[in-house]
Amino acid sequence: MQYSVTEFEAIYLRCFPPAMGLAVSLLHDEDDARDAVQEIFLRLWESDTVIDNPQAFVIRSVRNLCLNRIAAADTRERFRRRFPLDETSYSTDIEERHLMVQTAVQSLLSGRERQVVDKIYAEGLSYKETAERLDVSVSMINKCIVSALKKLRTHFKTNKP
Amino acid sequence: MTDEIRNSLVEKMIDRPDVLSSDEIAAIMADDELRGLYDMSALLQESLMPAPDVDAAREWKVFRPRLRRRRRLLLMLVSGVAAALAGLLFLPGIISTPTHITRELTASISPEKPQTMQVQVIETEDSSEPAQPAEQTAPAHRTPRKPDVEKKVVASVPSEEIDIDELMRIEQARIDNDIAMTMADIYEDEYYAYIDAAIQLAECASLPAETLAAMIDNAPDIDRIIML
Repeated sequence: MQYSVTEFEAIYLRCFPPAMGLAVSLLHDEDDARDAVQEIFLRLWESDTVIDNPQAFVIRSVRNLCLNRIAAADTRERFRRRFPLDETSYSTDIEERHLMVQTAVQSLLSGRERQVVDKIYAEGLSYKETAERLDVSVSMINKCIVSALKKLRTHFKTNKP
Repeated sequence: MTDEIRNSLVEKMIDRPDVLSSDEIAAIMADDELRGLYDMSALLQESLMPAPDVDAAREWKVFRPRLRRRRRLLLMLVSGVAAALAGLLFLPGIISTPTHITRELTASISPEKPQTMQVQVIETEDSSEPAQPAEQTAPAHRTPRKPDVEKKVVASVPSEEIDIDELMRIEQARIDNDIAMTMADIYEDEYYAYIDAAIQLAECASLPAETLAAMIDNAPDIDRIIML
């Protein structure tokens, strides 16, 4: 244990928000993300080796821990949690990838498709809730989603995120 | 696969993945297009999910007790290993010291005495053998191992009370320690239950962060049970 509680508190306050943001984006669940981040902070607390850049250590470790947890999930669990089926998709820088996807959503999708995608993926609404909010049918929501996913997939086949 | 089935599968895999059957999952996995759509959907989820609005100070308040708890667990582990090592170091001492005393005592009193005692022990240890006369010396046909066992038993007789007292004290201390640790765990669980309840209450009643912090500050003092 190389840090005093006061030193460790400063590191925690500085590193927790970005680490939590990363963990939530990978695990899609706030409680699981918090658990992963806290586990890494406990490792840092117990570490006897001097770590020059604790923030980089925390971010890198949280990323690896989350990817390990995703890798440990079976196919059914992956579907349930909306985890990717193929972990090689994590080979590129995560932040850069998120930026590419967000840019593609803005530039490639129609206004209605963007609305639907936003309600479902950003706000976490169901098809039914989205249909009610946008005053359209559920089948229309599915149509918009399929259309949006196809456009994005075609784009990223040539511009791998 | 018809378009209708495909649309149904897409709707399920995005909106209600819990209801996907094993066959439907296998169908999605086997279909390149559906699989591609699913991967794109997962990527969208990852990229568009907003970062949570975290209050780092509050998170620290909740997390901080875990540091002490973990440190205490580590100390318990270290002290357990130390106790085991100490036991290993002292055990030979406990066994060998009385043997020396016995040998010295018996040597100073009479050279015949130990043999007499050995015979008595043989009678009690192995009742299947015929009883030996009290003053008879050990027979020559015995295996080399027997005399060692006899010596140890003989040696332990005079020091029995001392060893038992010492062992009782050690055992009592161990039990006291176990009780103290169990009580500490109970108090600690109470503490965490209090924190969880405070957080849930704050979330349900939409209490401000300051109120929650004050509630956590007023939690039963964990320092009284963690002696660190």
